[in-house]
Amino acid sequence: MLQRGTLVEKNRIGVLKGRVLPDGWVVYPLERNRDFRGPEMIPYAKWRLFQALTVLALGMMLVPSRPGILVALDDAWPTDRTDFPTDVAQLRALQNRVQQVVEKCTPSTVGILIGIGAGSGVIVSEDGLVLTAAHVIAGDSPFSKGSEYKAGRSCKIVLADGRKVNGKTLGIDPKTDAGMVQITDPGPNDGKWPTVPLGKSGELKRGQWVVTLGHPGGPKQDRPPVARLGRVENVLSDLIRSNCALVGGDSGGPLFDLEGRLVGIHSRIGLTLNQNIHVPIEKFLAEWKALVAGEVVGRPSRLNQPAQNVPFLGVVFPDDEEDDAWITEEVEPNTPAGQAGLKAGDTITKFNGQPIKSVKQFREMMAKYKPGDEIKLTIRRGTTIMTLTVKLGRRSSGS
Amino acid sequence: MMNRLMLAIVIGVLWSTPVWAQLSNNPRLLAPFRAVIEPVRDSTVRVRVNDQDVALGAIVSSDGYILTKASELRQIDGITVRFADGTESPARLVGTHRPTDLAMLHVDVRNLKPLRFGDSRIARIGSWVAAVDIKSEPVAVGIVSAITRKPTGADAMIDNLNRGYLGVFMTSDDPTDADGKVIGAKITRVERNSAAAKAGLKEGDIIVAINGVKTPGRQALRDALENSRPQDKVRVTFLRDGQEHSVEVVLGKQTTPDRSDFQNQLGGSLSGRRTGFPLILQTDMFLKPSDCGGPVVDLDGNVLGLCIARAGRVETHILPAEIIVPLLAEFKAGKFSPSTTGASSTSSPSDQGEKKNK
Repeated sequence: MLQRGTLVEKNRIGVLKGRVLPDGWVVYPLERNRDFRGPEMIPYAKWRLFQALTVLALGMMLVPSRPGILVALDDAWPTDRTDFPTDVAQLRALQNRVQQVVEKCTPSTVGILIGIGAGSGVIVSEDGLVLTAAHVIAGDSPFSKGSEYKAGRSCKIVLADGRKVNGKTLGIDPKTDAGMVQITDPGPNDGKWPTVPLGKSGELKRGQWVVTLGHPGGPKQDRPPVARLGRVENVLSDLIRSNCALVGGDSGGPLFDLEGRLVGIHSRIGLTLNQNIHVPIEKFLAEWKALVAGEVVGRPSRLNQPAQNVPFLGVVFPDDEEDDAWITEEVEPNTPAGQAGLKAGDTITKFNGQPIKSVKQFREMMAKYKPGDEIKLTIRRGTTIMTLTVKLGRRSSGS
Repeated sequence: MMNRLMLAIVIGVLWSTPVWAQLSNNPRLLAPFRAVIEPVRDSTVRVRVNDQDVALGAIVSSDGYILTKASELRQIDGITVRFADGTESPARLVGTHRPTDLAMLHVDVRNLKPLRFGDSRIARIGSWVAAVDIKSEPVAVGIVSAITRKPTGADAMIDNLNRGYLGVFMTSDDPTDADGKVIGAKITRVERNSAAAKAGLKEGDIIVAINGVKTPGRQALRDALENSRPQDKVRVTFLRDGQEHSVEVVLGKQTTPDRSDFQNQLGGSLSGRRTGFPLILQTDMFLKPSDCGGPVVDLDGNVLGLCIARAGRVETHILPAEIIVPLLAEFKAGKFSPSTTGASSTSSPSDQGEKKNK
């Protein structure tokens, strides 16, 4: 029964599905339900049998498009130091580091409420991209191929101070457990969200000290993100293992090095306290574009395209994504663009007041809206500047 | 297939580290904390019941008063404390306070060094904390995970989650005699395959005593079982059709079809009483339930409070010093009676409708 592939453990309560990894670990999806009742459990006696083998849960992560500014931290304890403090002065140096990391990174650490589920996440771009675990936003079947998954599901983002803002799901990578969410409300600092800089998990060394933030048990009233300190136990290409203890609800939360750089996203746990698995940040970077586009990584692209919630304007832009967002072909009258009065040759310069300098920027803005939303487009037509209101349509499938 | 299984088990054993080998208890990390806890060691005791370690405790006066975690005592007699110098002394239970799960003990020893409590509110997230032992190294170290807060929701409910379970539901409308006096706890439903079902208890039975101690009402019954454990044998006296009967019941375990509980138990056992405290300071220390009850200090030696519960896979809670200090005088004045059930002290959490007996 313990061969690579899928392991299904039946028991009195239900069915436990897991995967046997090449290294002999059995991995089970981590819980993300707020009420935590789920069929994927096994009786305690069975756990004893599997004690030495078992690993639980899932993970995820992503990377920000614009890393935050690195603030110089107290360097009495070097970030890459891998041994133990030997006296009180060194304990204090390490403590200073940890406190600074917590202070710096807490504002970007969020809880995610979606359906009856709850998980964690971290804001990585000023426009509100949040990295999380795929299983936090993808429903009950983290090991499924994601064939049922649809981006654009609305969710609530719980900020560090307990306030809730709106968000919607973007793409997932079911294989690595990477997931992405977009906050759709404007950030607190001139519309911008507090972000954390990205690190490199590949540079982590065994024994290096790391800090975990997240919402164990899901976000709780009057409790900010919960900090834990640990060390890196192992770094493999597709996972980081640490002894920063995690539990259900932490999934999707951030793992930081002592510079306050995001190196991993919480994914799954094992039976013992040193088996806490994080998805390396590089796994998010590798699929960044697809995740932002709301795709399911690894799913045939045909299934990714005509998503129900993709808004439709009805214009054709230049192929070069860095070109100005100007309309290169005649606009059909029965499209949202046509009805609003857009014409071939128009250049879109602002989207709801935000300057648009390229096709790419325009598409990024569009990704934040859904069919039925009204947007204001400022266009340049010859020497005239005008602002038109467009009601976005739904992209018909198969187009 | 068996070979594969065996191989997988061997690999697993090599890969997994025993629970006790955590960062929180790693001797190399504990070593630099020796100097930090040294001034507090003399004010710390090991609490034992029937020669078993059940908790740690803190000396709060020079004339022999000691605080510890009440729910770990489980009985009134046979309590002793061991001091940092290795001497041991019998202890008398002076009182218990249910909201905080604190118990006050008294030993006939003079010139003890009382603990100087600080204030948990000076702790910042990320500050080191150490749970002081009578030995030269702490039992565990960790960091402050969340600053002092009032628990909410289910975390605010007082309960002992490790107790033995009968497996019966009872009416909130306790049966009374002709004078209106509550006579017992009436069963409205017996859970299938439960301890009560196996012993033959039925719907309609009125439980009037546990081990000869009267149980007038549902809450009294729950309190009577609070310090029991699964597999304990208890004698249940009940009324059926007006006749008094008695039966021995082997208590069961609460089935936990709850993945949160399940995951939280990965990585070591938890304190039975781990919720319902008025205030908590959350840390990431890892320790055994029997290592709760002692002082917790920060790097500057400030006593932030007493370690009150191993509460989950990622959390160990400290009862803040600022809520302990005001209780000391009341304890010494005998305001809290010495109960191991806490039945005598303040009210239990919401008790509406049919509720499961634990």
